[in-house]
Amino acid sequence: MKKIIEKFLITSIFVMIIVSTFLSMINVYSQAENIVKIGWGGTSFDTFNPFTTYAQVSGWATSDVYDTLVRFDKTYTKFIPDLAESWEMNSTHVVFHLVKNATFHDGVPVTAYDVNYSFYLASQPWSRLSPNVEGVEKIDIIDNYTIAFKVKSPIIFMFMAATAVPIVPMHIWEKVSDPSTYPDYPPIGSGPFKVVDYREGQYILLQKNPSFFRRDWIPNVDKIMIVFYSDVTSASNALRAGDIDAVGPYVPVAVVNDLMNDPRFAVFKVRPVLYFYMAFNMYPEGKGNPTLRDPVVRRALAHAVNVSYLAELAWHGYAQPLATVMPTTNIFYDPNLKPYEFNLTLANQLLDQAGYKRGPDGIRVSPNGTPMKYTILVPSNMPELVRVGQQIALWWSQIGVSADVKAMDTGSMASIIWTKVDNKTTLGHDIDIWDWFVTPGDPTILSVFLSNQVIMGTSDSGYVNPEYDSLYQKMLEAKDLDTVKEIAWKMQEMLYRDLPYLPLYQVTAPQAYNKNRITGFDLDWPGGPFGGYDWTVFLKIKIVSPTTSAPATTTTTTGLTTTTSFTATTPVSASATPIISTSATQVATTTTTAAALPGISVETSLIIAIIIIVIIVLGVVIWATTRRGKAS
Amino acid sequence: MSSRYSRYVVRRFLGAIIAVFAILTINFFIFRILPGNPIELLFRNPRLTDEQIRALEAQFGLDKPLIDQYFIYLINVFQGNLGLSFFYRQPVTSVLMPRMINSLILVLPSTLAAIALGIVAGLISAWRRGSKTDVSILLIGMSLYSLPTFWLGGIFILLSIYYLHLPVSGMLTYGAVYSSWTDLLIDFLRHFILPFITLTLVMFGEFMIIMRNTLIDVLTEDYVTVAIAKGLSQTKILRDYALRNAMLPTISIIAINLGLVVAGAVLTETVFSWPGVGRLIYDAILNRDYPILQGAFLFITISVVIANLIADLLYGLLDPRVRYG
Repeated sequence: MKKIIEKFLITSIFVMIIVSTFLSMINVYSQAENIVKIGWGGTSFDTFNPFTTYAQVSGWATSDVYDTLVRFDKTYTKFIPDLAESWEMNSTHVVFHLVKNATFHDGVPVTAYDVNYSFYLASQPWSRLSPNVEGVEKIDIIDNYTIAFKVKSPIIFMFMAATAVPIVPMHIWEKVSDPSTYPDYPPIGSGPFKVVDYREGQYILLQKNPSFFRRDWIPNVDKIMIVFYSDVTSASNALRAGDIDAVGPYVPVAVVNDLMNDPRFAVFKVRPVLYFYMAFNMYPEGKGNPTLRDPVVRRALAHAVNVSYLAELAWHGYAQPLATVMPTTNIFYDPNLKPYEFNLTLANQLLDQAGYKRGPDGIRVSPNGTPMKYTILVPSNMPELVRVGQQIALWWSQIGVSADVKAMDTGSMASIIWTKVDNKTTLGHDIDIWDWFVTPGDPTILSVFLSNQVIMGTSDSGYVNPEYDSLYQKMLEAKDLDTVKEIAWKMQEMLYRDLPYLPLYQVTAPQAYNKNRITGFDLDWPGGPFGGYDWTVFLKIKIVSPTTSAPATTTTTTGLTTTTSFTATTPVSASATPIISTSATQVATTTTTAAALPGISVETSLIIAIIIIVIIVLGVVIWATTRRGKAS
Repeated sequence: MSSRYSRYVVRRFLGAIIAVFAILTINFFIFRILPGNPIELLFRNPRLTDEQIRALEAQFGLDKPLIDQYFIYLINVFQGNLGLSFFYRQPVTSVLMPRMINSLILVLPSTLAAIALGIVAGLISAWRRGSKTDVSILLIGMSLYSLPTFWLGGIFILLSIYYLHLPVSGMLTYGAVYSSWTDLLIDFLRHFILPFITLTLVMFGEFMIIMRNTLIDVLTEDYVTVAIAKGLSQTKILRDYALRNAMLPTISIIAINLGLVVAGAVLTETVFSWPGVGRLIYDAILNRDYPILQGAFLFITISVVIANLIADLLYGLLDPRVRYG
């Protein structure tokens, strides 16, 4: 009996080993090789409805499914015509002339009525885009292909609305009973890609729309798949295992060296769109430590933080210190601001002069008796922030300030920061460290510091300044870009002086792709090609050559590589040169034959292996039942 | 079956129904106790206006008093409506069902394999108590039991990247077109094998330890000594005397684990990017997606209750003391 059992145990372990070796030797070759796969780690795809989606990946994955009136180029200062062929602007109106041969994926022509209806949907209170189209006062349809917008500021309209509102088909959306919960799958747009398959939590599959109206935008590859991962580490592992061809929004610093040492991969730094900051609760009605409302205290604390050191500590060469509330890629970034000098003596002097005397325990106490003891909240999903917080606490201890770092999930953090007292939202924390992703062509980040933003649950500093509020309104009504910039700079200087935020560092996160597989896209878009901002990457991406991982498929792939040749070798810029589509790639992707069949021996041995597994399970069942039969 | 047994069955059924009701209630309130408002969190967005936030709250029924929300929830559950996911903006069932099937595909075979291996290893270990075999099995079982899943999974992923060249994410090669069902099967198995082994190894220890310890207790009983003295064969002693009595605690462990099969395996699924319920729950907690969490927990708890009910009924059959007690 016991020998049988021992044999059984040993055999089953052997079977496992044998099966896994078998499986590692055979690889099923299939048409998946012709699909470019981009992994995305982090918050997954939420919905196709472009008016209710909040996930970055959703907007990015569908950026070439829907058209907008105009598009940004990679400098975010020039506009590329999309559905609008041309446009005219005066100080109150923007008139768009639409292209005449554009059709939705179902064949219905795109007209001014669709544009009008899309802007109507965007302006609904449930729409995420309603603040973008706030400045629109009136829309006039002049004819089928001409539409006029009466707006507060034409330049702000171009930056925030014309580039952002996706044009959806009126003939479909007007029949939807509740567009706010409409899942919009499969989505019908007019863009160069169609969505052909979507598995929630797994992937979205895009297919080239060969009848797209801008011939120079026709994608180079037939199919692009965006694969969702719960975090960037899993996505990076999948890249290394060859499951996918690229990783976004970034690869973790921990695996960068492994990727760099592997000749298959190209690793590069992206232009920053993400920055980290420290927010001081200075809200007059807030519940935090009241000493933080004193500007001298905030200045002293700022002088006691070495931002360059923190950037290095957290991101090992992939972050730079920052002095203002937006990253350098934002066109409204104020380059005149420099980080506060790290000077503990100066910090001590400032506090001494302001009357913050050290208590018996070495911790300073305000003139009216409040000790300078703070709690710093940090999100626990970013472990490096705990170290950043602890380092700050260490510096502060040298100026007589005690700080306690608390890591928690963002949900709990938000509930501490925006607490409800008597049904009114107020700020309940002292200090928090968090991040913002900032769209390069958008000054909206400045609205976080408006006086009414505490009750909205966006301001974690409680900055209240009527002068700032009126400047923001002025900016939204400015008539030209220079005025917008001038006002935006003035606002940033106010924030620099008043310190609701102490900006820490911006992240030039590494991204990676398999250079043996894909090529052809720009690396210098803000956020990188896979960061969720670059809408041209899907159009420009090209397959280098199909991977040859299985010996059985070598003949097929050799045949393919010979037919693949590229006419455009350098990445082409989106603004000036048209995006060249190479017919050769299309040949390569369409001539692929069906999957090569594995040999008979493999097949049979595999079936045997499966049978053995089944026997293991069945054996236990039978063994258990016979035992019962005898016993009763 | 005696009327006593049927009375026992009825009592168990009533117990199960009460348990499900309790679950429904706890299920609703437990997520409301969690700090954090889903609207604030999902849409941390400087552009949201007050009007928009209110519209979103109304859309998900979050503007009503808690007690009203509770009754609406109860009524909807009985109509089979688990609500609309905050994050996916889709009915919960349509998000949950495919995920549950994916989880079953991974977790059921792994649980069965772990049970089979665990019982067998536990048997050997108990029979040869104190021997080198026992010590080594115990050591292996204990260390596997205490290994962090993500670490074990990570080791397999590294092995795969450098030596095995197996895929480390997903259930199938996404976008693949298969020319025959064997291709599909092979592709599936290539994706399946690593998470399967990881999960089996992690669960193996639990079953092995339970089996070994209860069997050791039984083997020291007088009737086993008598059986040995009678000169009965090892097989007969183990099978007819020891195992039957040692089976009871093992059955309840097995029942709970089989019930938990629909819960997926959070860590294994996350490490291997398996699109199962575990990963869905993980994401839903981060997003404060109450309806998804409620739906998932409802299914899990009901399935555990049913598995326990079956275990109870089996108990009644296996051990007369239970039904007459």
